[in-house]
Amino acid sequence: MATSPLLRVSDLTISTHQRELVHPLSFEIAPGERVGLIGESGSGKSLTSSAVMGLLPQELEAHGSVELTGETGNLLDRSERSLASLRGRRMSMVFQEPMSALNPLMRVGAQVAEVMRLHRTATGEAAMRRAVDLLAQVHLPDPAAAARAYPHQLSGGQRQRVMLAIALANEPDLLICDEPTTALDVTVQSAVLDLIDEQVRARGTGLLFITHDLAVVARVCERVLVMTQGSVVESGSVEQIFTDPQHEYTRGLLAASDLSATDERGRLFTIATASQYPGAVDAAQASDARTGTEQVPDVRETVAQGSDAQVTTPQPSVAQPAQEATADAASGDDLIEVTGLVKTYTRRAGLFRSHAVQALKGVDLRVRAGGRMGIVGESGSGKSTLLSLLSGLDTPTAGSIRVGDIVVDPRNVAGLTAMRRDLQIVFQDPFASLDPRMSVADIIGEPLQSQGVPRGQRLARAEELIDSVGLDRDSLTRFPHQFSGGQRQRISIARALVTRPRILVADEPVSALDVSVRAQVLNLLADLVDEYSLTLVFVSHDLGVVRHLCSDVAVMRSGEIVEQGTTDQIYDDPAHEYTRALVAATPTLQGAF
Amino acid sequence: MTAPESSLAPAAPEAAPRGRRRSRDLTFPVGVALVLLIVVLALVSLVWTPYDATTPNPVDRLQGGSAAHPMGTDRYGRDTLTWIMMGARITLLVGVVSVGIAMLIGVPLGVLAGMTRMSWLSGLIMRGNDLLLAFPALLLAIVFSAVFGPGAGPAMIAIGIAAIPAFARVARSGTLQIMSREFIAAARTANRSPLQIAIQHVVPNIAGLIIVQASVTFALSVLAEAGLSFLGLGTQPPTPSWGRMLQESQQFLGSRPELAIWPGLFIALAVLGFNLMGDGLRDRLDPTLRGRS
Repeated sequence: MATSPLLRVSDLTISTHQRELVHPLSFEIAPGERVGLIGESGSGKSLTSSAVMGLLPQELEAHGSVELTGETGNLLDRSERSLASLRGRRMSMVFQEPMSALNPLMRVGAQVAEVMRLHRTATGEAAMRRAVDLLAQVHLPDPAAAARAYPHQLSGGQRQRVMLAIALANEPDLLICDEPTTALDVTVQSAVLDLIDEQVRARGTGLLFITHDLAVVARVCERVLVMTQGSVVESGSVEQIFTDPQHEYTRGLLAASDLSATDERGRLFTIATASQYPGAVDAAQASDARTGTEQVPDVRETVAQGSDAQVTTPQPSVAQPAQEATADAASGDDLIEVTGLVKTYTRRAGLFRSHAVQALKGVDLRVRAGGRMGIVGESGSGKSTLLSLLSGLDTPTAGSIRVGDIVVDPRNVAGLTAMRRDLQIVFQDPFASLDPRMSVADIIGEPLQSQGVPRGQRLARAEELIDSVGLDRDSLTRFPHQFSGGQRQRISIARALVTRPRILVADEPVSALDVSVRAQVLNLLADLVDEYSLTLVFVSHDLGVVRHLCSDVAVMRSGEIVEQGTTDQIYDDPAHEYTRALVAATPTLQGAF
Repeated sequence: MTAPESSLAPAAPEAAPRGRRRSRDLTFPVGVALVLLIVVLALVSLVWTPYDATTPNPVDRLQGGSAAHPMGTDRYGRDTLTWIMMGARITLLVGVVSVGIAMLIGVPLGVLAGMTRMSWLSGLIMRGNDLLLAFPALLLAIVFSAVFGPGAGPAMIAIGIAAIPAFARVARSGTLQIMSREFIAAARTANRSPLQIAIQHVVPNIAGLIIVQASVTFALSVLAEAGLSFLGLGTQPPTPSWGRMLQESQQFLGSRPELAIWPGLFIALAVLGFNLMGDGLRDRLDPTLRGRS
């Protein structure tokens, strides 16, 4: 670039008293350039952006230099006061979680106006008018009304639009977005990305876009920096990084990301990846995912049906009089049958009023033995409610659920006990789903404990399962906080399989994991489903993951299943417009060019 | 999920500013030292005291501090140090018993209120709690001593009952937090009964909160016991008690203020000790300070 850079970061290091978190780091952003900073959790990408903004937590120290064109000297040496005058005027930031970044007690219009008043770029009525104007520019419907709304009255996507309006209010030269769409639904994410792209291009603003998602970065950026363990390992144009990655970490990241969006359908992704990205996965990763190579996916259904058809459920369900007729329908094929399921929550709104929220409005779903059913939906679609009803954690308002021969009813304790031997859940958040006060052995053995299995046998089973999820036996005596997210999810899977269930229900099991770890956990899940002949119910907001793993898909939206069918059919030829929108909105690496 | 959280979590606790860290670190050791002092006094008094506590010795009455009587003597010539040591015993006993009563009743109630899905039950427990909270411990103690006669026993029970609401509230709010975590749902799908979940998951996870509350309540009950004994509703003669020593010293405040100062000082030290220990424990066990990794 001939012109002087907008932002020049050189030899930036960030450290605590004990260790260096970000190693000497240099990069430049030209005026109007859109740069993506990619990395997984702990890579130091957010610290880097905080250092540029002067927002590092007090206990961290930054050294090196950060220069912004038009400002003299090193920004790192500036006082908080002089940095504050730059923030929101010359450079501004959009955060991941818009709800916590907005003041809940202030109308959003006033918050947009505030940033102009603070920097005296507009005052009084003019600031307010301009705020409404900005809200219109970020495409909020009815901006005047939106300006009078409080943050909680807006949806997540709308809040993020407000954040963007605040960030752009003073026409900054540099916009930093830190995972701006990670907390948003797929369709909303797509719209917000378009908006960021549009606004930044229109204003010629320099953009530093921080994300863990390669597909997202491909949509908005021209140039990419790949960061891992506190260092930038590779930088280049989007095309170059995506088509000809030089560093092995970049190649691995690319390969792992592509797994979710694989077009090699019907095949397990490690094989596909290995051929598609020769040498992309280094030795360590390969050994971690080792079990993935021996699978023959196409026989999985026959195996599943053959070996498990005769497993008897111990308790013949004492059919509930209230739930007529469903038990008759028990055919040999459908292991799970959900009929006309309705769940209504009563929510209190104020002191005397209350209103009913229909979380599920009559859902019918059948999962055949050995099937892999994916349930896709955005937040609020009712998929979590469906799961908690399915696992007997909650009572349906109407309708019935049959698992095997058992009609699920939380009041029928004996039936529930029998059902839970057959159906186990892997939860979403690996940090919340393991009791921090229990050892891993106790955690894995817990489902057996309620069956009255003696301690010695529980331990033996726990050892067996810790092997099959690929962790050391030493792990058994340790506690959850000593493990990473991916390892915890393996423990969670081990716990779910300890009772030798027929059905494994996975609730967004990889959404909290990093891309490279996600691939490994998905591989493990696929392997175990084959090995234990499981029927899988896999809930996710991520269409790519579901497409890879599942044979059938049900698409949920506001408490209803709008479409269901085989995976290929749904993805290649979606009948419902919502499904089409969802498929179109999902960022894929292939779609990036 | 994102970088700032996971990369900062391990670093944050280490890197608090030095000065603040040091002062926070001192809270706990000082508290523990004071508590230990009281405990040691009580333990030693079980096997040895400088003088006999109950035998009057009119020759030595109302003396100031000396080699023979480091803290002086009271109007019957009894050694004040002996009484302070013996008083520590009843102080600790009252604390242990009343905290025990409050904890054994309050925690299960709070956990039940937090875990039950029947809102009327938790409502009933918590409103009953509020009712109890409206009764001052003193009033309860007066009622008890009117019914059972004054004494250390009724006083302990009254103090314990008055402290139930504090435990129930802390236990309930802790339980509500724990119940919303996914591992509880996991335990339920593992078919654990509510009682098993309470014992295996909820109680261990709220233990920190309970311990802190116990420490603070201990301090309060030391104070309450002293107050009740001062009013003649607590420990009865001839058992030595700091509260009664204060009361008996009243008429000599002009001539022998040490008689009031010594028991007053030890009451203050005991209360301070348990409070500091509670604060220190809170800092150490606070879930927001406990890093994830």
